[in-house]
Amino acid sequence: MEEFDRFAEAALAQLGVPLGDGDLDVLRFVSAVFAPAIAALDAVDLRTLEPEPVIDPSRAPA
Amino acid sequence: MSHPQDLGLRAQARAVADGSLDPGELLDATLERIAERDGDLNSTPVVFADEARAMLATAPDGPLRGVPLTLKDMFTTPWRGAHNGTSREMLAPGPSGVFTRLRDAGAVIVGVAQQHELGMGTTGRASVWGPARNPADRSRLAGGSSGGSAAAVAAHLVAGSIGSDSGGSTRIPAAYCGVVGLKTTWGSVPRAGYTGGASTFSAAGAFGRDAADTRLLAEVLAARSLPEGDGARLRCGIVAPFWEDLHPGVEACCRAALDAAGWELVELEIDRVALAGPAAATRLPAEMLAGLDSSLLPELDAITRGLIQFALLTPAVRMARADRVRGHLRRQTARAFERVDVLAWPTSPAPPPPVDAPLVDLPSGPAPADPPNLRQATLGNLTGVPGISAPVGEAGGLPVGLQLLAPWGEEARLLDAAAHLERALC
Repeated sequence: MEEFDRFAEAALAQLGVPLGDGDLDVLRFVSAVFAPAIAALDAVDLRTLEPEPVIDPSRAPA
Repeated sequence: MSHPQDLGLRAQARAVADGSLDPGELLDATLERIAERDGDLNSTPVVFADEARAMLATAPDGPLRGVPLTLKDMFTTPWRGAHNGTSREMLAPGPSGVFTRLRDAGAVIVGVAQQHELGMGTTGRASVWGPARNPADRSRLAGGSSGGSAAAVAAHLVAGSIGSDSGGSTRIPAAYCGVVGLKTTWGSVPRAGYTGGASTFSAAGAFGRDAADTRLLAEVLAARSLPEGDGARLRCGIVAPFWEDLHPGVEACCRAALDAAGWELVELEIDRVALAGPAAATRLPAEMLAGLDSSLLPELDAITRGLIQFALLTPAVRMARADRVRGHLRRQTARAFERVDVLAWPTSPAPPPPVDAPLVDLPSGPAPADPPNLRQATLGNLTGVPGISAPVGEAGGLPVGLQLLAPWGEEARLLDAAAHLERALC
C-alpha cells in the first residue's frame, strides 16, 4: 500500500492534481474496489483475442 | 377527473391532439405537481415555467405536441447550458440535437432532471443537487446517472424524460424505479449539445412508464419509425456470468419473467465477457474526463474525486488493452446475435441501495453498488448496441428490472420484447 501511495502522490503531483485531506484514503478504497477486476484485463493474453484493428463505434463490427 | 400526469405519454399526446385536454392546463398541472410532490424526491431540481410556456406557445403540430418532458443535465437548451450534475456550465446554452428533435415534435421541456455528477455513478447519490430518491421508497436511491429522469416518470411528475447511458445510466435507474428505460444505439440520436457527445460509450436514453410510451419517445429521438412487431417469439440468449452473484429476489423476478414470456432460451457463451466491466472501467472515465477542468475536483463528492484520480493513474498501455478487449467483445457479441434475437439478464444485481449507505447485499457479500452494476451494464456500451430495462416485479417491495440487448439498430425489437413482458406479467 505504501508503494501505491507513493505512486499516486507522485503521479498526481506530476499532473498538477493535488491530493486533499482524506483523498488518499478514498483513492485507496477506489483502487481496492476496481483494481482486482482490472488485474484480469492486465493479465489477458492479447494473442488470444480477435482483433478489430480500427474500431468505429458508429457502426456494428464488420 | 384524474390528474393529467396520471395519463401516460401517448394518452397525453392523444388527448391534446383530439382537443380533450388543453395543453396549457396540462402544463400548469405538471408544474403544480412538480412543486407539490418533488420535494425530497429531488428528481427535477430546475424548473422552466416561463420557458416551457414559451415553447408551448410556438409548439408545432407533432407527435408530442404539448407533452411536458424533462431533460437530463447533459443536454443543452437555448436558455440553459449543460452542467452535467455539477455547479459548472460544461456546454453553453443552445439547442442541443436532442432538444431540437423534441421541440420539433411539439414537446415542452419543463425542467432539468437530476443526475449523478459527471455521469460517474450508477446510484444517483452524488450530485450538485443532492441525491435523487426512489419513489418506491424514499430512503432508497433512484439510480444513476439519470436518476432524476427515472424518478420523475415513476412518480408521475412527467410521463417521459430523456436521459443518457454511458455505463447503464438509463437502464439502471429505470430498473431501480420500476419504469422502462431504453438506451439507444450509439450514434442514432444527434450528439450536438451533449456532454457525452465525444464519448464512444454514451448514448441518449428514453424513459416511459411502459414500452409503448417509450417507443413514441424513442421514435422522436431517432427521427424514425420503430414499428411494432411480435415480441412473443424470440430466441433469448442466456449468458451465464450475468446470472451469477445476484440478490435472490432479483434473480427470482427475472427468471419468472423469462418463464412468463415463453421465449426460447438459448444458453450461450460470449468469449471473455467478464472483461467487459474492467475494459469499460478503464476506457469510459478517460473519455468522460478528457476535457475536465481539474479545478472542479475540490467541489466534487469525495468518491467522484477518487474515481477521477484513479482514472488519472491509468497507464496508456492498459487503455490499449481495453480497446483490444472491446474489439473482441464487439465481434463476439455480433456473433451471438447470429444465434439469438436478444440477450437477457438482470439490469442490476440487487435492489436499489439506501441513500445513506449505497451498498448492495450480494451472495458474495456486501459491495458498493457501482462495480456490480457496471458488470451488468457495460457490454451494451462497449458494443454500442441498444439495450432496455423492463420492470418485472419487486424484491422486498423494491422494483426489479430485466435487461435486454439487441443487435445494432434494433430498438424496435427491444420495445416489442418489453411490451410482450408487460402482457405476460400482468
